[in-house]
Amino acid sequence: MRLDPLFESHRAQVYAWAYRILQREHDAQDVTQDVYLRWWHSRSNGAALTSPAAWLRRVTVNRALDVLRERHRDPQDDFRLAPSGVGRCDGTAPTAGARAEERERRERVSRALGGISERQREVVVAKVFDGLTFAAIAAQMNLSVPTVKTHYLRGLAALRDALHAERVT
Amino acid sequence: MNCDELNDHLADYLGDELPEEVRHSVDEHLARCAACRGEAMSLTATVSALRSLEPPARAPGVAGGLRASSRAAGLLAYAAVLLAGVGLGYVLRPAAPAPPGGGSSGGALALHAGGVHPGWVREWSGAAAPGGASPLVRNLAIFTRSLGTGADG
Repeated sequence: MRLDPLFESHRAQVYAWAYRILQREHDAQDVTQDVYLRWWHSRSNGAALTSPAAWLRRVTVNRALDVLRERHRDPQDDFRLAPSGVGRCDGTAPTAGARAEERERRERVSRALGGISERQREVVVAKVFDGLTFAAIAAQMNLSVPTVKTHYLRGLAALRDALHAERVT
Repeated sequence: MNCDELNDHLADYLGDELPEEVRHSVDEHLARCAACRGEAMSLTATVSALRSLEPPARAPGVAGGLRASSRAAGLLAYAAVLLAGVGLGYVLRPAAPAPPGGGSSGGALALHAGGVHPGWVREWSGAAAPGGASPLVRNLAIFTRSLGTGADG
């Protein structure tokens, strides 16, 4: 059975968005599958068809953040953490404690991303994760370029404050 | 460049979209303005923190997972169609003929309750065909003869 070709063309990107937030393959796969089902049910939805990339980015990031919140609520989940790929500059393997610390730091960054407004988050993800220009983001989101830049700066400032409160940066 | 002008360029500065000559002016301002430098550095650190959320090195099993799921969905759809067909066949089964004398034997009731209509049993056994073979038996005979004819021809 073939996937919807339009979704198929964005599938790797959907997986990458989910993975960046969750940092685990199996969670990212679950989110990708879930987003596909949502896409299937919403494929006649105007917003999904007008700008599939923007729609998929928003739905994927929101779903991944939901999974992150569920993970955070489950204390047993720490025992199922996948090994991190964090290495040290001297080439030696990081200790288990260092890996756990790095994982926790990344989770805090992802959680902070969930704490800013959806519009700001969309712009920040499109800019930082996808490397799009402000003009491209504005076109995808049907906004003006100055508005996109404002969302970007405010989103980054809100993230900075959240991360600073958690002593991540 | 003053602080207001720097703010106008800050998004482009952080987003790596500044022309080189403007970037140079921004860098000059940041070198002499501690407040703007602090703001720019803290936001740059935030972008770095976001970039530390590494992208996947590969996308293993995504296609497999989705396709496995699609196969499962296909099997479920097949099972649903099969069940619907059986259900439809039951609903559209021939109406029960009025029992002789207005009653019904216990055996016929048991057959009916089990989804087998008493009328079908009579049809299959030929009991319902007065004075000769049932239509089913007659059709079977015609079919068998046609096979024989086909073989001969």
